[in-house]
Amino acid sequence: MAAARPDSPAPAGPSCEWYQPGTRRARSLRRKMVISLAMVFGLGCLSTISALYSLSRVADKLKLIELSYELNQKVLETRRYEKNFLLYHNQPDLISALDYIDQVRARVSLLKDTAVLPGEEISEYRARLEDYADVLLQLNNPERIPPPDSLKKQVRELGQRFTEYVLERDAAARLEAEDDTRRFRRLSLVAMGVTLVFGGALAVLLLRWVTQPLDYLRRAATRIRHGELTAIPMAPAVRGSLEGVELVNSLNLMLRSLVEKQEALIQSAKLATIGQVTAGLAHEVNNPLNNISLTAEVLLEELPEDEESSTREMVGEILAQTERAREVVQNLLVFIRMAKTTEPVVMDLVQITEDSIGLLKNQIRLSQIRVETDFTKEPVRAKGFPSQIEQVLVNVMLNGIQAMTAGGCLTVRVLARPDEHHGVVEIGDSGPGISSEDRKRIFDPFFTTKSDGTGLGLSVSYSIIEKHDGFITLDSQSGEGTTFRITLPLLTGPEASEVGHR
Amino acid sequence: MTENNRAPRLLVIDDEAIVGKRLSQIFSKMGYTVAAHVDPAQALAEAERQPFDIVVTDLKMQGIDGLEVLRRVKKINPATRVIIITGYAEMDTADSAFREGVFDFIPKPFRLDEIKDAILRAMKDRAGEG
Repeated sequence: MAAARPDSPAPAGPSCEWYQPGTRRARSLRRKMVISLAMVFGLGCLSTISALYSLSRVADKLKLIELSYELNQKVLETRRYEKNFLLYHNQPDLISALDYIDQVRARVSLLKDTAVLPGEEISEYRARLEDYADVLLQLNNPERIPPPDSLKKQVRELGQRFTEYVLERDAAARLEAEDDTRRFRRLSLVAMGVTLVFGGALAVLLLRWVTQPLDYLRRAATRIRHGELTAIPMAPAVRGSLEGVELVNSLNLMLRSLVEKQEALIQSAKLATIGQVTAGLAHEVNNPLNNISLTAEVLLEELPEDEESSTREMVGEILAQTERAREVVQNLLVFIRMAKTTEPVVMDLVQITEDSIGLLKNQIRLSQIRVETDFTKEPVRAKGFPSQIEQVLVNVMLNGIQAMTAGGCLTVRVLARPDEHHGVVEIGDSGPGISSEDRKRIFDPFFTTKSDGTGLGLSVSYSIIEKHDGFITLDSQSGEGTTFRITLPLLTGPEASEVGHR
Repeated sequence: MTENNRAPRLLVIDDEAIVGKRLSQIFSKMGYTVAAHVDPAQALAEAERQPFDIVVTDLKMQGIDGLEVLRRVKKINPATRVIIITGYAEMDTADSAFREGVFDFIPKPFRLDEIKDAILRAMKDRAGEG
């Protein structure tokens, strides 16, 4: 039971601080990750949308180029038939040319429908087309074949101008499409780059948020293993996230209970060894003791009636001393065979504490000390062996009384801590306190600071409380007295309803 | 009733010689015939030759322990009363000793009065039975 060790006192001692998350910076790691992933997702969506947009724009341009090309072809066809007619004056050539003009008109309407070209450009197309179409239509007069030279010239000029315009627009559209393609490719590349940079940065941050605390914990664990630390101290690496702070707190709790368990194991192993040694020792000592007392008694019987009383007295002293030694051995044996005889009962710690004080009335009066008590009104119930608990309380109180001079004060409190499931008896004295050196050994068998002590009282108390699944701790400052705190599992619920008979 | 007229026979077995010496001193004076042995084998040999009324034996001894002495003595003469004395009394050993028919089980160190009382009671018990 580590709690018995002064260097690792029970709840909220310095060896196990409970850390609060930093109010400003600590965010849940989960939240950070969700936000980061949402940002990366958003960036990804943006760059995809921009790529799709670019694709659709390029597709528009391609359509424009296709239409311009067709338009181009139809115009060239018109011009071919127009030329044939002007050379040979065959009526069908003119009809074909006019027919192609209609097809050109239809292509211009299609251009307009694509809505890729601005309105003015379409009007320009139409104006030039209609100019040309008008003069071409004037050729269609059977009475004027061959047509007059002025009209021919006009037709050629307007046809030439329209053709040039169409070719020029076609070339321009191609150039524009190339420009657009380049521009959209750049846009996509930029979007991708931004996504990569942001996403990468976030990934690095995420990694750091996760690995930094883990790495810190790993290093702290190594130091704990090497004995440089007893608990994980708080550091910026873990303070940044709620999870980190909680993890450190949980690990520290676990470490503390491990240390407690380990020390409890050591202590019970110690007691077990002592028990074995003592059993053998008791047997070895009882034989010579028996020889001494038997011999002394026989000697006493065989002394002549008129023997000097001082001789009788001396033999009597041998017997008395033998009796004293026998008691020491007897106590040792009791210590080893800690009564596990009967069933545990429900007991009231307040009642037992009152009884224990009652048993010590004489010592308290003789030592001229005061007793201050502070008991809860309700019974504080625990399960166990009342006589053993009484033995512990009497023992601890007696130690306290013996540690004080006249005028000292023994403070006895009994309280329940239902949220921790603890019933606690505190016994404080105003004596000189216990040095930290002695505090480490105070529960060890045979350790005593009293000239006539056996060194068994507190180690027996320790085993008794341990058997009751409780623990004893002590606070002591040199010159400021000592407080023993006996903590037992609190009994609640229906089991606690009836205090057992003693 | 010849048995009541002869001196009661007491055998003391203990590897601690002093126990035998002291009990011999006391019970010889009280009119007992006392044999004291530190070696249980020798003691049992003597008991084979002539049974005792009372046997006081230590529990832990080299070779033959007190429980074995109890068994053998009872085999020689079931009427013999056996008292076991021991430096370290364990409940288990005491239990099995009583099951085997021990008359009394006395932890060391004992007071002279205790052992006297036990032996007198054993004699009375034996006389009642006889």
